[in-house]
Amino acid sequence: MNLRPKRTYASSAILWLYSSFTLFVLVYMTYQAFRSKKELLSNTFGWPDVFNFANFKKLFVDANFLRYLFNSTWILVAVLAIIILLSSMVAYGIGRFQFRFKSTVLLYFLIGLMFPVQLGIVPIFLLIRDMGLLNSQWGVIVVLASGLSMPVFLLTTFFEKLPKDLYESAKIDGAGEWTTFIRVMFPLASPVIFSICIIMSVQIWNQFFVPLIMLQSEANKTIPLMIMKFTNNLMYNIDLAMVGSVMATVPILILFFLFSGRVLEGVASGGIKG
Amino acid sequence: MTWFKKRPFLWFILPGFILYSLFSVYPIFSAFQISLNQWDGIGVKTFVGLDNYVELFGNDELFAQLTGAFRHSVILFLLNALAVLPAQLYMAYLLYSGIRGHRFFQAMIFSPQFIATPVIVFMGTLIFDGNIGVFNKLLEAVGLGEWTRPWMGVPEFGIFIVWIMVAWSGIGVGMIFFLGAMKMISSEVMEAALLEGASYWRRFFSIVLPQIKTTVLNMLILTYIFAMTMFDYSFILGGVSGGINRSVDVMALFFYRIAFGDNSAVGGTMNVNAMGMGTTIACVMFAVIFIVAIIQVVITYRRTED
Amino acid sequence: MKLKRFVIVLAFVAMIGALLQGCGKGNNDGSPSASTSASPSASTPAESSQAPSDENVTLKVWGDLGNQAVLEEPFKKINAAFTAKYPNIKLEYDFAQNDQSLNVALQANELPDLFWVQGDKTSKMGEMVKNGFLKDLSSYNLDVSRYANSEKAYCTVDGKLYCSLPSFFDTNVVYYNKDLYEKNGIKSPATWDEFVQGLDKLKAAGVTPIALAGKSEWDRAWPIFAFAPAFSNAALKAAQTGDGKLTDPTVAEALQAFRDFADKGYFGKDFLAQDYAAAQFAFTNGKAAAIIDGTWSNSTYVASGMNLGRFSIPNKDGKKIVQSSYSNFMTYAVASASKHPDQAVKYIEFLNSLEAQQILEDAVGLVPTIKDITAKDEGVKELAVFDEAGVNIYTVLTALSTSESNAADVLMKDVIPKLMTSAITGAEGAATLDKAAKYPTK
Repeated sequence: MNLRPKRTYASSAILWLYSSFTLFVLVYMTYQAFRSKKELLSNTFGWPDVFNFANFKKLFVDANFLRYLFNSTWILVAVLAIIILLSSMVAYGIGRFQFRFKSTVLLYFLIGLMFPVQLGIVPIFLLIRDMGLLNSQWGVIVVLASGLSMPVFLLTTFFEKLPKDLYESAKIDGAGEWTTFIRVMFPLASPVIFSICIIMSVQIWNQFFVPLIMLQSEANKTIPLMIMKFTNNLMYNIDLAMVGSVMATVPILILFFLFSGRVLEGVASGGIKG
Repeated sequence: MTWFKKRPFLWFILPGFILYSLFSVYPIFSAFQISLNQWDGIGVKTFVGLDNYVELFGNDELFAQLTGAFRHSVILFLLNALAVLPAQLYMAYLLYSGIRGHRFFQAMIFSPQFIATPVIVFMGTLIFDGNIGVFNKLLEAVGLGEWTRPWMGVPEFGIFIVWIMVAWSGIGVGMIFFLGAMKMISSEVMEAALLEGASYWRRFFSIVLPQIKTTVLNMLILTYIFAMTMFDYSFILGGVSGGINRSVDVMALFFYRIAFGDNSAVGGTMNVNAMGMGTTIACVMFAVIFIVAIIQVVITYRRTED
Repeated sequence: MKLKRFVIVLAFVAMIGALLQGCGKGNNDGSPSASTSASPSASTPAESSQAPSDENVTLKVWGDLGNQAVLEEPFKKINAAFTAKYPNIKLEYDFAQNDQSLNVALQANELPDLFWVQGDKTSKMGEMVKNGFLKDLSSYNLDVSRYANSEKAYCTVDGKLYCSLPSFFDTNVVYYNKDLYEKNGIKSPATWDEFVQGLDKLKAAGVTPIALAGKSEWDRAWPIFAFAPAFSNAALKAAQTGDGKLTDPTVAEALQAFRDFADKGYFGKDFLAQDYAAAQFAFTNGKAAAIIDGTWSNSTYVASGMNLGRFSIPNKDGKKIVQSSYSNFMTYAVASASKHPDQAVKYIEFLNSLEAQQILEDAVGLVPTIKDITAKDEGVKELAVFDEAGVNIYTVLTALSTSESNAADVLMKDVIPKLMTSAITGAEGAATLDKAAKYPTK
């Protein structure tokens, strides 16, 4: 199915302009990461005398980058799994079935977005302490996984709109509610679930405040906290700030590029037969 | 048990409901109680009823700050709703229709999301600074040397600088989601339209847009919530006081300033009612968002329930 | 209709919330003052030293998260030296404390055994003492013979000692680019007039005389911090004790000097739009001839490899009176709830020792206030060339603040921006501060 517009010059030009600016920012950031602290400070805009990997070595060896990367990745995977599972269940429950209080429940799930987390942090802190999860990554995972507002809100309409006869025919085939949900409905909503995965990944990856309060020992901290360590004394650590930002951004971007392309392609070729 | 059997949706909703209530909703109620007290954050709380609310709206200085911050938040929302949202839809549609290089565009448009906010602001300095910024070097190179300025902080731009940074870094979020929604459109409908010979933009307005209308409305309310709770760019660009003459102040920063005061290494304000008043502002913020959300959800769902 | 249903659900959740709150009450009631004031004797060393002193304990210590990158190495060494001296005390030293995490810890009553404080520089430590969060160290008879009275005053609230003593000094100096100064025939100035003449020359030569971060609330204030003691040290001192007022003409003069600098273009074009990084870049890249910054930034400028010089601003009589405030890098307090107060005090003692202080000096290069600490290098010695250690205007204003009116905040967030944008004169600024201040009654 060819959906392309006939003339794409103007549109392409806008996208090119936008993308090349972003690309430039990324490339410029990467370029600066290869320069020595002295050059970064005294000849910020200019050609380097030498390109070197010293900053990268400093980041990986002295600053223990891989440990932060591992912590961040583990928290991301765990939170994402819980959020996707729970939020699609909730959204399915609200969207699929007819019951009173429907929009009330939906509204209820939205209020989590409306209040600054800094204010609610003390009761959360006490709950986590009483669960014995202070200074543990599980504490962060539990708190972050409770942020169901956005995925629930966005997913509900899709489960509502999925064709009813599919649901009916699955029931006639004798499938239970759970089987129908997991085998039929969840895969059907996969394009939206996937885009929510991407959006939530970024949010979780950049989470800063909750890990700051819940994690104390260096061994448990995440990448945003490591970046903050360098940006707090920005000029003092300008070399590590640059290389840290590059390593926190570029690899995940490459993954995103490879992964997202493939999944969206796959979805597009399958499509939904209504 | 039969009560539960009759209501299968409960099994789907309950696990998420419990976790969410415990860690996302209960803290809000607990915070609401604080707004009824006079409290400096560490000392003894004194119950004062609704006095904090009365003071917030009665005290000239506080009220001026509130309305100023609210005005900026509304400007952010309007700019996002009128400029960013259509741009997101437009970009998503271009990518959806498989324009050449769509994978690359998609990755690039979304990628600023991955960069930490302080780093984005710092990169802004590296590019737009008056002395060492690439952009200004470019101006000099093409003979526009007298135009060089530190574009990131030109005072006249005020809140618009914040908006540009928010828009640049955040445009990919809505776009990705709209793209996902468009992929959910039944391919048969699109094929039928193609056979009829509907033009590119006609397909957009008569098929795609109606199909994802609810999604757009939902995104609109999220945009509103986001504009009302946006904090970090204003904080990094303007400090806790929201810039000179509070030119980049927003609601969330106003709350933060009152509740936690100065956040720098040297400072530390202790106000006799910092937490009480700060929480009051957060509750007002909550109400402002909540009322709009009710209207939105009720309107959207009345239509779909028909 | 919908609203009514919603209210029912909310009420339900509120009930659960109240229930949870009730359960938690027993152990989270904000202030521990009741328990500590009720049994003051429990914390005296005589009683608690009955515990075997060779018992293995672990102390939780919170370090300064905002300066983690600077302090990580020296504190690794300090802690290793401490553990070598006291093998039975294990340290769990985490860089976990900033304002936010401290506030949460205070409200949840979950303070670590030891954490860093800012002494009398801000009102925070006083508030914590008032609410019973800090342990009074007076009864431990710490050896403070190396210290002067002003250092003890840093840690003292109502006559009692609450933290390890400061041994370093933060001040503001003018960092200047020696090459640019020499090229324009300017020397490190001996008087205020010479200083200003030099700036005029630089401006005429097309160089920005001083880089200023107009967007950064703190960094744009350093000129004021430097001018205040140079112009009005006596007046500020008198104001702090209630013997004088902030409307003194010398205070207005200091503020006016700052506005004049902005008016005359010494801060360059568009300094209002610069953040701290941009101002520092302007200096390190040779676009600006000087920057007024803190002694803590010394190593950054050294790292840029420029031909770096430093001087303190002389006043009209050629006397160099610099603002002085103590560095809080080594000032730690003991939580009153600590289960191992005796061992925690051992750590305080160690931070008070020359051994620990020299480790920090060798790593960071601060200006020592105690004679027996050896300065790291010549650059650090240059930072310490001045005639008199004067007052810090922020500390003076903090002392004149109440919880209703914070004069220090008024200076930072109201007076300075208005001076920068030429909206008020120095005299008007001084009047604003005078109005915000509450002088001690005699």
